Amino acid sequence: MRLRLLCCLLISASLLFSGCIPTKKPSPHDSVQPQVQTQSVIIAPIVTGASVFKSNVRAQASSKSKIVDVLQKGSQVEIIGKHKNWYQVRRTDNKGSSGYVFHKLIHLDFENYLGTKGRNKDFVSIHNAPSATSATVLKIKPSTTFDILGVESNFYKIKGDHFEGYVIADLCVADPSSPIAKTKIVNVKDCTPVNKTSSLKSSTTTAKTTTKSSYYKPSKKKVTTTKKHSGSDSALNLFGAFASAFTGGSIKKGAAPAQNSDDALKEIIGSINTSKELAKTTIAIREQMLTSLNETRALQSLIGKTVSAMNQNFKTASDTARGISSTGMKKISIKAFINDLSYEPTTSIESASVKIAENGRMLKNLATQIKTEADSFSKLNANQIQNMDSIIRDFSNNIHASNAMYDFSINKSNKVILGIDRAIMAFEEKAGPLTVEASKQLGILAISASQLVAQLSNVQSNPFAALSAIPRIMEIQEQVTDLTSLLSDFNEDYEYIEKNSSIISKQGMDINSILMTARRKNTQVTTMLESYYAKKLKLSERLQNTYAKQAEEGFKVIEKKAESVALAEDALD
Amino acid sequence: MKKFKLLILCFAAMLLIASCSFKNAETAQNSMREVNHSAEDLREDSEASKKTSEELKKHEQSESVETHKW
Repeated sequence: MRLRLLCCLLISASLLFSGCIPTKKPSPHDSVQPQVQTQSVIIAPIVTGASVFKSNVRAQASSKSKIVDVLQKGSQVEIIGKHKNWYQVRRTDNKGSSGYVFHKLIHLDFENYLGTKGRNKDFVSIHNAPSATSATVLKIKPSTTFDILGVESNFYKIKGDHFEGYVIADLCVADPSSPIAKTKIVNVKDCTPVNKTSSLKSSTTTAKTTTKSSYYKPSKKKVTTTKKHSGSDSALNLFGAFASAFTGGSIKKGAAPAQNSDDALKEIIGSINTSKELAKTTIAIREQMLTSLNETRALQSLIGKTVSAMNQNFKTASDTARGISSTGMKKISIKAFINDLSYEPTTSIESASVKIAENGRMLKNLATQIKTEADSFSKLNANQIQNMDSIIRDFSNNIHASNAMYDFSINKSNKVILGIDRAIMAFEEKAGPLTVEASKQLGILAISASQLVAQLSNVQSNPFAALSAIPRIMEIQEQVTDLTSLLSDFNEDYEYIEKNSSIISKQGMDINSILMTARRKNTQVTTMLESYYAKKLKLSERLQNTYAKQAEEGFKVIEKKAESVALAEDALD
Repeated sequence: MKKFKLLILCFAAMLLIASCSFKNAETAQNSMREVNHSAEDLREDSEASKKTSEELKKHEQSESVETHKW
């Protein structure tokens, strides 16, 4: 690719320099060779919209005017003009009559073009985001003009000379007579061969360019009529070889001029059409990038909302887990009860019976207390299981949200990646033909310049010929302007892709950061639950050990005391 | 002549641009790929968390009151 471009540059540079050297003085007695007439209607911007309600179409821009058609709600129309607060419309299906509809009854379809000019009716604040609560960056005076890049939630996305952001749509007026993009090209080609008389080789080129403005301001009808006689041999040969090299044609060695003036003229006409085709690529590139940008925004918004809902679940789960963790278990001291039991030897059977009865009561109390504790533990356990259920439910909801989020992020991200790919592909596809096109046009311009130099250098001997060069100079100037704008357009395409990519990249990072937050919270809740369970296990184990130890010791004490009581009672007997 | 110079400059700029790579575009694409990975990771994390909490619940249930009847 690079090599090809460099080759093009070198060839075009060499062509330019060689083409600028006059090889032959032109003769004023040139005969007229073929005449080709080409009519090209260029760039007719289309603005469409839909009727908001059932609307009357009137013959004039007045509510008192005759009704010529009635638009049903949602009818698609093309805006073909504007008069004060009235849009001149025509149905897109070409049914009915064209006429005027009050501007508030038409909702402009912003997807059909990349922007339009607009202005604000009053002082308006420019917001960072399409929300009235978002931060404002600037306040602009009434009737400030700007480009409207799109519509989001009843906000216009605007771009002015020194500002960019969102404004409330109701405070602005969109001007459909100044759309920026979405173009339609209609070419009318008419070749009329004219008197072919002589084989004299000299050149005089005249051109006539007229521009007609249609009823619709940006629609420009450009009619170019070019008459070309014969060309400078060396320059034409050079151009022929050059053009042939690029277009893949073959030049026969030794044959008469590879391209005559007719061919050269066709090349010029072809160049103009190619330029238009190339200009159309810009729209494709920008539409791809805008789609990518909108997909990224949609993804960010969806992920933001989903993660926000997930965060609520995380909060509930986290609070529940924290509650579970803080729930401890009461300690029961069996040993204390055992120590309270009295097995001291008695001096009489009665007192021994009383003691035994007392001990029996105390043991019964102990059993009751242990049962109560077991019940409360049982309830606590049930509560904890219920809490765990609630946590699991929250996680289930989050899994559901996370799955949905994964699906749409895959979908949207892939669209964004594809959109950028397509934009780059369109740009690269444009680069090749544009290089060839620019080289060809530079070649043509060089030839024209060489002819002009020849004509002007001969001004003393033939002032009329020099005068006839004036229209040609104007044409060259126009062609240079066209080519410059084509190249600058290409440059802007690159910047457009890079600028939008930079925004997409930033938004991608924001989305990632949101997702990372969700992941972090996920981990937090899980860690908390695990730590809760570890703590509980430890506590449970400790209690069980303690109780077992206490019970063992208690048995020993009871056995010992019972033994001594038995001995004492035996002695008493 | 000035226009000619401008034209040649534009042409040179065009070639320069065409030979440049799209850095931001590449970053944007990578960024979106990372979004996909992050979304996938989040999905896996959520599933792992649910699994963990379900296991804990099972343990809770098996930790029956019977073991605490002294």
